[in-house]
Amino acid sequence: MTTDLRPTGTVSGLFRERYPEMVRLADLLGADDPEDIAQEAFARLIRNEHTLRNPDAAIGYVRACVCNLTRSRHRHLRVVRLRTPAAYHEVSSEHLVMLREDHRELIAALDTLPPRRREAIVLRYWLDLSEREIAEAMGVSAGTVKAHVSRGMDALEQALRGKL
Amino acid sequence: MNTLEDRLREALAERASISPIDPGAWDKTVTRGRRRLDPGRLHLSITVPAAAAAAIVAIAVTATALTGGHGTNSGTPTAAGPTPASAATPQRPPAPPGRGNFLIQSAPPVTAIVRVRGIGGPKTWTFVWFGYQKSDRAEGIQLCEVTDGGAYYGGGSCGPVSLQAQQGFVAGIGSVRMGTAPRRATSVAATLPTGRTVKGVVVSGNRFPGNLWLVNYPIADTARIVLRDATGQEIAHTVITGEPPALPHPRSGGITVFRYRGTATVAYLIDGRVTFWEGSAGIAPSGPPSQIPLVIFNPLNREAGEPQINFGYAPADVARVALQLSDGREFSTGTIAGWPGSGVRLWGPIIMPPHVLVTGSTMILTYNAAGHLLDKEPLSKVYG
Repeated sequence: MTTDLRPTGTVSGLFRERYPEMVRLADLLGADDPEDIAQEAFARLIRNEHTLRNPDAAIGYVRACVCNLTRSRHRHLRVVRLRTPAAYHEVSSEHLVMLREDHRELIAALDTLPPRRREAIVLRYWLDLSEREIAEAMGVSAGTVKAHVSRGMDALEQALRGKL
Repeated sequence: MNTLEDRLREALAERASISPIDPGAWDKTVTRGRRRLDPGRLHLSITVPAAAAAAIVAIAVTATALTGGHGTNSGTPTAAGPTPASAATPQRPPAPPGRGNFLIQSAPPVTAIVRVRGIGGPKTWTFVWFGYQKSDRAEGIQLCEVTDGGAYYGGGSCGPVSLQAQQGFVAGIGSVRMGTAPRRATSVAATLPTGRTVKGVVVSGNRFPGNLWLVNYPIADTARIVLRDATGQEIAHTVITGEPPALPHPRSGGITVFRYRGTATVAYLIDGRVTFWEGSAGIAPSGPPSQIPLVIFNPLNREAGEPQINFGYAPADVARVALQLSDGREFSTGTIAGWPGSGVRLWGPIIMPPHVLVTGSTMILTYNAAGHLLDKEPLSKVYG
């Protein structure tokens, strides 16, 4: 059986509109190669588009892929770190120097949060997603999202208070 | 809405605004999306470059400094000839470099990744493959290697095969030398000035355009590399000149150009040449500033996720140096004064994000104090 592998207009249109957003999402979640993550997420959409019952669900699918792939990269990099103690992996340090001083502190504090809390906060405060949408992207319940956001914000406040 | 939430939104928006976007992303994504579902297309995508590679390497091998007689074709074993592996080499090899490895990302394999045991010393594994520079296919097929285990932490290098073949070797990590070999070559040995002979290995792999030889000896020695066929007959040889001894670290006269993660990069003027020292390692361009007015160094041996640090020196009228990528993005830094009367200013670091690949076609721009462009050259012309 041959599968039609040409991406449909829906996917190409979605890519045109949302690819930069997905790259930035992966970047904010701390991916070491955000473009690679975003491209892989859209590539999965191309491969699995025919399985989506509702075309409107495509962006949610891509968003969830970006979150999952970034989490996988973090896990992989933790293993790499153990294997290569001499190497440095402070991915976002060069970006930090380009930010305003107060923003720099905040982003640095965000970088220290556990991945799930960071995901929840980025999806909530950068993409302005609803709890239901965040839950779909993260593959957790809405209640868990609430807990991640609340604990993440507490941790950020504490981190910033410690700087004063 | 509280203040922290507002600040968070602003900070995230600002941070997101500096994420670079690749204009060619759609084509790459479509290719990637097709790859896993269509075995026919996957086969095509690999065999086409491999065929091209075979053609390129066939020319390169003909032009190599390796010369000699003829022998019988013994077939190509996966790993032929004596192996230098010691009994202390662990049975379980480290995993081959994965997608996160910088060299895999910059020159994705179009062949198998073949692992060679013990070539860099006991307990080491060297991984070799062929690929094309992702950002600049015009550079031609690259031979890449990564060595892991022992004193190595997965560093390595990639280089164009045609150039390596002309020189008869590839500058590998540590003292490991390697190069392409005719298919019928099954063993390699290096004869050193003392008369000592060091045996290496000849390997091949799935879709390799030819055989590959690897041998490990002190880089300061000039060595005669001899390739033999299965009958022991010499089929090619070349002489590799030893590299000059390491520079002694000067005790004074240094100018600290920058510090990065606790390590200072310090410049010295030694015998009319600018030399940079990163910690205990010294690097120098091949000529004095009067002959090479603009020099850039950038370390290629790095893991994915590690930023690339660029630095160098420039003529006295240069106030700012910038690197411009093919998509127009510029990364720049100011210069600082060099030694009085030297006509040299020092610059660095230009820190490139981990996923940005700097290649020979990246442009280096220099500006004067008034902000006027003084010069614009591709990096391939000014590499130190």
